[in-house]
Amino acid sequence: MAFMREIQVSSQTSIASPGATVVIVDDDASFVNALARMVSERRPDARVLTALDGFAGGMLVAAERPDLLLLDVHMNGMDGVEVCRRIRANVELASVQIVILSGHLTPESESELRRLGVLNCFHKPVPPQRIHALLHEHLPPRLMAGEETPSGS
Amino acid sequence: MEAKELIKGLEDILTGLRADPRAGELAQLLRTTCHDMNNALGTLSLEFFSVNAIVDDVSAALPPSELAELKAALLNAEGARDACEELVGVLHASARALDRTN
Repeated sequence: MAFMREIQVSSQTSIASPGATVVIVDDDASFVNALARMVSERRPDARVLTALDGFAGGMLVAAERPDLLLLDVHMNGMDGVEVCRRIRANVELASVQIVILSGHLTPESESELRRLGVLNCFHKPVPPQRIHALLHEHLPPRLMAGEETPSGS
Repeated sequence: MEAKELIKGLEDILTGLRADPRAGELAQLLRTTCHDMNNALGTLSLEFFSVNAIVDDVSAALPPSELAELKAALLNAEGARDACEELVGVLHASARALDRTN
């Protein structure tokens, strides 16, 4: 697998549950913390996993196959465009929905990301309401207490 | 300094820099600065939203005068964040202007 190499994966699991899985990959730790907290607050049923660089993020995606990947572009080492390329080259990860949250996007990189099938590209600072909307649009419906987990998830 | 004044000052300097072979380096530095500031502003945006939500949740338990003071402070801080966003826009426009001249 493209991401399988011996490296340290910096990730954390905030909530373990059978609900949706969201992976956040960004090299800005403060932004990652704020966004992870917001996603967990909005979707307490979801697992929120984070990585602080592209390669670790790619490994996390390959291992966890999240419902939604919130991905930065400009990161040291492997950038977000390359992460997208590798994910899209892996048929087992075809269902992973990717949304870009970037502090700076060139028209060229945005065009390439859209060609790779990302759902949307947002420029930071992203209004929190947009984050809420994309969680609502792109995550499976929230499981209520006592509800069965859909088979295969 | 108002953003308009800053734009004017930068335009004057950029005009003088157009022939400089290192103008491209300056443009890249400006873009990197904008990127890093946008990251920080992104964090601020999310955190302000969270703090406002918490304030709304506990508002009933706060004395009205303290609640008003807290909301005024948050509003003021959000205004400062918006001013920073405007300045990042100015820097970004400068980077684009330098790109066009190289």
